[in-house]
Amino acid sequence: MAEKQLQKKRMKFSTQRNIFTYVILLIGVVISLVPFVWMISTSLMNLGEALGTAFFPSELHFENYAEAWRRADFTEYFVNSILITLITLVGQLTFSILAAYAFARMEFPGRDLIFSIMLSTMMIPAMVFTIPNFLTVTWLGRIGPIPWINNWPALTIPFMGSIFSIFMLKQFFAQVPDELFDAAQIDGAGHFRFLTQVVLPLSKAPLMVILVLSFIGTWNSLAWPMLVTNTPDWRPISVGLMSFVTEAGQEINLTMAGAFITILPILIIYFFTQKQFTESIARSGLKG
Amino acid sequence: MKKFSFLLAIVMVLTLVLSACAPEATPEPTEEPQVEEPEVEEPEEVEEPEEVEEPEEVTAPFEGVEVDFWHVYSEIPGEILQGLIDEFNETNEYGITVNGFNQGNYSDVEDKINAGIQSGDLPDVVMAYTNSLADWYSVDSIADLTPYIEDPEYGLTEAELNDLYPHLRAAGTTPDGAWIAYPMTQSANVLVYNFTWAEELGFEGAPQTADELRAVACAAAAANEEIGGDFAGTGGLVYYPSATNWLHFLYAFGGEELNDDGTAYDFNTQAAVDTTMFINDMKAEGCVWQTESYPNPEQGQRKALITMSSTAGLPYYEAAFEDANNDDEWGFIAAPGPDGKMAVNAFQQMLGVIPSTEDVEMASWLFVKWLTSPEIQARWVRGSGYYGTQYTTEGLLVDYLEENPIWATGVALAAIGPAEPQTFPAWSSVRRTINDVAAELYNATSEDEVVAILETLTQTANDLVEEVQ
Repeated sequence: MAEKQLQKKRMKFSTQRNIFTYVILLIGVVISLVPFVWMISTSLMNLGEALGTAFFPSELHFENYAEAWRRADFTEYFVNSILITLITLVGQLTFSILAAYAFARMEFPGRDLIFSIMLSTMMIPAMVFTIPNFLTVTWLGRIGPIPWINNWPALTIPFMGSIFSIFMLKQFFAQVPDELFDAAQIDGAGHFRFLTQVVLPLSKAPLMVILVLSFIGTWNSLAWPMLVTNTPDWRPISVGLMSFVTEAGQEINLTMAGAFITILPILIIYFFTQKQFTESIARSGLKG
Repeated sequence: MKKFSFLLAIVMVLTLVLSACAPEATPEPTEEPQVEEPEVEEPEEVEEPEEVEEPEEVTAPFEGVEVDFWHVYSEIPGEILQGLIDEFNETNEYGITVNGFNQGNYSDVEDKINAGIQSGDLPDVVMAYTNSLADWYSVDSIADLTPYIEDPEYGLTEAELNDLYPHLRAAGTTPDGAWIAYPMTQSANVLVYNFTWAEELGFEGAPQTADELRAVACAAAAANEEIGGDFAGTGGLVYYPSATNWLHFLYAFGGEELNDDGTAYDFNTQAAVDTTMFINDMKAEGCVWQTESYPNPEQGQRKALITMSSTAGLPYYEAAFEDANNDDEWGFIAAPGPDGKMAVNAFQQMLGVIPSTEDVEMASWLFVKWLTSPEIQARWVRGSGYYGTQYTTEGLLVDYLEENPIWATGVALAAIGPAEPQTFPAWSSVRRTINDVAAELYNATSEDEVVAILETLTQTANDLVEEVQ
């Protein structure tokens, strides 16, 4: 009897705890969603309303999206952003996978030292690299067969070597059991076949995380593209958004319409990779 | 057969090598003058219209010179500016070609020039704020325009120089006399004033003195206090303690940033104390208040009688009044001082020329001169909404003034200035310091406290000068 009562008490406590957890989570969801709702809501207002304190539009101005698209010249910038992102992602994944594999599974002199030096560069703020990187790409453009400034190499190549991606993949690759490599060797596989046919299929989750994070980083980048481009030919979509910001302020309704257009591809990518992304974060303990 | 092929190959290779080594250029110049000579003689013999045209083609003095121009305009103003550039390229008699590039906002241009100074990738003409141009001049990356402006053939006449608003020459000149920034257009920090509401409160026209400003602002605050609810605590002057706004009132109170000799910063003046106390007293009386964001909606809703804004903010105010269905008459006014002195804080969209060869520098100046000439400036003003920089431009905008009565209220203000001493050493850093200090001044409770803050500000500013020198 006493045990039943204890069990009842435990259940009651557990239910209360669950309710408390859900309330906290619900608050978290609301806090996370408010900026998105505000963005969509403001994007449907007229300028006067958007400048004020109203949270919801009195009248829906869907034409803001067409206006934003036209005025920011998104057609050209969208294509540029897609190309820049694709080239960067392919390059970054290729170099990160190869480097991470070498650090994780190959023995060579100075391996740990090189890896430590690479990791230490993560401590330096990215802004510090801006001028040295700019000088490097300018110099490479002068000596190379194609110009780098105002062209895709300056926009993509500096980001193909990502220390974070190498570090993350190295941690995953190092966890692959040695027995698998031994078995693969017996079957006549070398490092490359082992990497492509065994390690990579097992590492879908971290690859997806890198894909999503790099996609977001490249898609949203603004300062570097502005620095290395002089004409709209290779400028990304974030530059289009800037056209609504003037000396006196910004056309906040059009900026928000443009912002929603800009983040759509990120939402789509996240929607398709959500499972692997969550799985990888849970496994690695990484937090956004 | 094999021998023949081998010989043929050797002959072909030798032919190629010899033709490659042959001095191609030598015979051509000697031939050209021979052809040209009779052409020059021809016009002397017969005076036909065809022959008059020929010398014109030959005499384009900067034929083939290309000028890269970095600016900050996109969308409609960007298109208009590009149209003007195209027109210059088609019509200029010098043979100059200008390539215009929109480089984002002023901060982007600053970043790009800073990086370009290191790598050597710089344009020939750049649009920037004066303090940026002064910084680049200090590292030999901006040219002194004086020799070009004074050039007897391509420079400006005395009349053209006198046509510039008086404060603009000083605004673009460094303390050592180098003219480094030439004004393309102007905007200004002004007071946005609701004339209709002020009239209802018993105040006709714009306030002419600081006391009148205080009276009308306090009357508006009292009126809104009576309404109560959302309106309580609103009504007067919306003032943000920033460098722009504090300096604006400082100018009206007869103050400036430099000492009498113009050799050092000096903020510890009676004018600076009076300015600060004037605002703080109004705050204490409830006649000055602050909004959470841009104050346009509040002004449209009659929660603010007076706000401070850049003239470039006009479309945002129009939208706010329209959204509030408010038909009040409103416009731009200057800040009045205690003795009736009027001032705005004028900002110029300046053009600077990057050091290069003499030809490119002169070509750059000729483009700047054309772009800022009254006729072209008037067209640019119509498209951009900025204000002109010379008296003649005003005369070319009569119809535009009639069509845009609120914008027109700012024309006279743009001419009075003054402008911040952006070419004085360390101004960028000093301005940032004033921005920080402005909040301290706004919260000061006594005159002694204000004096102490201003003393520290003066010391810090002059220390910053020492650092850069």
